[in-house]
Amino acid sequence: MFVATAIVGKSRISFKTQSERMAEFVKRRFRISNIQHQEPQADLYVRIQDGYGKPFDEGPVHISASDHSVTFQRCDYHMVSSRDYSSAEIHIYDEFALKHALINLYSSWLIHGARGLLIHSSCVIHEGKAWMFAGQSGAGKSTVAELSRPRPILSDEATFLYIEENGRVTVYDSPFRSEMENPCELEEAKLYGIHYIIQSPDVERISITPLDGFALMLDKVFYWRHDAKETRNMIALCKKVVQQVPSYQLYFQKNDTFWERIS
Amino acid sequence: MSQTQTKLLRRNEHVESEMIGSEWILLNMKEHVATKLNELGGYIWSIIPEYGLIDEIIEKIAEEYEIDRHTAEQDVNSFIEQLLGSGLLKYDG
Repeated sequence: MFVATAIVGKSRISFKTQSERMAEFVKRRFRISNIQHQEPQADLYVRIQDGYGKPFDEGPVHISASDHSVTFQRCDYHMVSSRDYSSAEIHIYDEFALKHALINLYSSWLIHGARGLLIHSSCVIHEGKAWMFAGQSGAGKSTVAELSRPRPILSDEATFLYIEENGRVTVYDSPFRSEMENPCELEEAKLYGIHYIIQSPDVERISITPLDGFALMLDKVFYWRHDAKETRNMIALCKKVVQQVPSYQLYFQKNDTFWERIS
Repeated sequence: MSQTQTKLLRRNEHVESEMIGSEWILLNMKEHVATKLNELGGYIWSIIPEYGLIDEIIEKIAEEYEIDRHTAEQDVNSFIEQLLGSGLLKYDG
């Protein structure tokens, strides 16, 4: 049995699995605080079993809730969590399924406690400041991250925004990664701007209002509607973020000249 | 007086609205559509819980914006029609 505690931002996730493949995945993607046999103190408890279902077929996630649990069902995973999303049993087909299930769980946990958000975007540190690049699939989020090297990359797929008690929006290193598997050399940075990216022959950065930023952010949040109260939490968190952090539209070419416009 | 003028307008239950800065945005949670309101629209939206009758809204707008009743009526009617049409507002009952 593999038992480990991962550190994600300010939270701890306890993982348990008998699958060597899944243990390897967890060790590769997460910052593991220690590997031990006793179940340590954590904020979330996750048990993983493989051998479930079939490869992802683009089908949707079905979510249903009872008084005591929430069930997330996709062809490649079946996850049952507690109502506060702090413990879950996940049956999965492969690593891709596990990543999706964990994004779903962790995002739900963040929103439930009004802690923060996972957002479809990449995030790069430049001169100590975190800058986010969001867009629809194919807009170039990971391209922007790739083009930004050797700057530290906090995320290439799902940016982890955390709203501190004083309202500051911090981006923590995201373990929910696509191509750039390794954890970031830096653990966190304050968020200074959110860019909605558009590939273009020109390079231009246009400031947009908090309200326009809010409208653009809503469908970039990793969140599958299943509960009106949670949806309102998600909306309130987006509002807090856009009131704290400026939003921009960024037209960029496939090179790193867009950094000249960012400060 | 037409029937609609005596019926109370209400915000639809599946609509969440947020004011950010000085602007309003309406989120239709059923259809996943966001609608941004202009200043006048935002003001009308904000007073609907208090002034549910179209006539009351028209009067209030004419007063607040210092415009004649006819202009206010045109502005309010066209805005309310749009919101009714997109399922953001409904008549009570």
